[in-house]
Amino acid sequence: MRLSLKYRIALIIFLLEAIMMTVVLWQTLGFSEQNTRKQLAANEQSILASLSGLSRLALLTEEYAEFQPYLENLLDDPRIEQALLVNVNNRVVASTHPTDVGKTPPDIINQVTAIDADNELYWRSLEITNSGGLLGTLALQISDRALRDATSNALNLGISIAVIGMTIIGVIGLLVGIALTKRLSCLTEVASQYAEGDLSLRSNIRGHDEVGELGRAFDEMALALEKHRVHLQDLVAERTSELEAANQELEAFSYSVSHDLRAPLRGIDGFSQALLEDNLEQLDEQGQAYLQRIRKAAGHMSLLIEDLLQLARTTQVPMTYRTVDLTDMAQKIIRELADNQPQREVEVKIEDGLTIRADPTLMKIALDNLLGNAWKYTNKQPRARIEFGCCEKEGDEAFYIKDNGAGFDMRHADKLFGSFQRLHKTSEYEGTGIGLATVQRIIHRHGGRIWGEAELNKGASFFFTISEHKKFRDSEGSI
Amino acid sequence: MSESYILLVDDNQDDIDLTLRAIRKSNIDQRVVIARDGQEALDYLFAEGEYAGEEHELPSVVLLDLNMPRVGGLDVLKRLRAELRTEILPVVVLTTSDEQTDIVRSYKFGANSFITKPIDINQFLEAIQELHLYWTERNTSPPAPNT
Repeated sequence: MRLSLKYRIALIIFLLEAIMMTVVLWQTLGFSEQNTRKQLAANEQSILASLSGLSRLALLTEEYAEFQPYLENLLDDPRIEQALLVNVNNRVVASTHPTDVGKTPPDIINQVTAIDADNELYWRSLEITNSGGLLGTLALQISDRALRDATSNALNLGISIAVIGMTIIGVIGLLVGIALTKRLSCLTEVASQYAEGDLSLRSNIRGHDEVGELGRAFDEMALALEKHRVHLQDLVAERTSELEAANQELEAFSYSVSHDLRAPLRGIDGFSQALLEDNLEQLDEQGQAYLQRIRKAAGHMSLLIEDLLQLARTTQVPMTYRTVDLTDMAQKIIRELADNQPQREVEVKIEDGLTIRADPTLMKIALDNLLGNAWKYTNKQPRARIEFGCCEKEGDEAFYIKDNGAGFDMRHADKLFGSFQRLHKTSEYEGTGIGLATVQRIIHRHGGRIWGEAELNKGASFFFTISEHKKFRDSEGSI
Repeated sequence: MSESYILLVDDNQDDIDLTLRAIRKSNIDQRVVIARDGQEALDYLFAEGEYAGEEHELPSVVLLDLNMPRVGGLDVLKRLRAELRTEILPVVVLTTSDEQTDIVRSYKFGANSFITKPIDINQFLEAIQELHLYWTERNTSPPAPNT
């Protein structure tokens, strides 16, 4: 059961008070009753003793009329119900109840006899003797009712005081609890405001106790947090504007690359060709070969510029997620590659129904590069084979492009995705070394991973994942 | 002055020479007027500035570069589309850029076509031939406005 702190404090104080009150009451009342009883017993004995002389005289003279008033005087004591004198023959000779005279007295042995529950009555007696022996017995019937009443009154009073006291203590406990927890709930409220992001509030709880200390520490923490957050916001704003500036610079850079670097290249290529066509007779074979090499170099540089631009754009363009049919995309890419090199015979296997949520333009660039690489690096393989599909890798669904081409040495695998990093000589396989760097950026932008596994001259496999992609497998099969 | 001609607007002398050579190589029998930046092109077409007082007929097509000093290609386009005389004049943007923003803006400002100049000279030659074929042979130009 959940119990608020203030109620717990009040309850504990209340229970402690109740236990204390009970113990005190029990002790006080019990003790006083015992004392009173002892005193009363002594008192009764002294009453009996004070009448022993007169009793002896009355019994000796058998003149009971003069003794009667002394007996009746005893009834002034509210505790004494009856007094009687019994002679040696066990006959009542004088009594406060005159009708009892001459009768046999009740069993008046010195013992407490409960006659009824309300009037707890007992007898106290004294044997009257002289030198000759037993003369008779003087007996008093005493009621305990008065003492009981007094005790019960005292108990009632005690209980009343205890109840009032406990109520007051309980209320005080509750108030103390409220006072204590009011500050704590104030802290809770302020803390939950912080959780919602409003750090401007302060608890303003002060005082010399622990809660006051807590309040002060709390406010100091809030101040520090607020300062920190402002600092962070400034930092984020600063970094954002720096990033924006860097991005703009990059955009301006790629624009200038796109426009200003290409134009001179066209001049180099164009005028080399012009020389070859218009001034052919003035050129010997070596001159012509040099011009061809100038054109080839210009062509390579043009490729580098295109690839660099594409790499820059893959990080810049905003992404739009669409449903992308990778199967269809891969089939089209392969068809295009085959159209460009109709002399090649490549066995291609593409899994059906590979559909994901991704940016179509970027995914096209990635697949262009991956399948283009597979196509390129299998060109020395008489029985070239390329596979595109989906499989389970380390608990994730990974797409793979697998070929049986040149492969690479796994010792250089860390260089695979670096810009301008190549694992093959340009004379063997053409390329700029930017393709896989571009692919990696695209996969990273989709929240995925890419890695390669290969063996030199035995083929390479590239695996990539796309995070949170929704893949639908329409049907299994291959083409 | 009824002879049709092409207005080539480009600030790069190499590109101008290569374009002219391509036209010559393709045996295209067209007069080419060259403006070396946007301002010169506007002056030529609207008989302003250095061409003040020289009224010219409109070309059959304008080949317009984008990045040029003084007045850029996009500003030329804006002015051409704002003037009654040239609002339907065929303009082909012929530039080195293949930036999406350039393409989109060119069409937005009323370009009729956008062609990226290929770096490979043979492809460039092909592009010029196709351009000529389409814009001066195949395409029916809008009638000359009465000015």
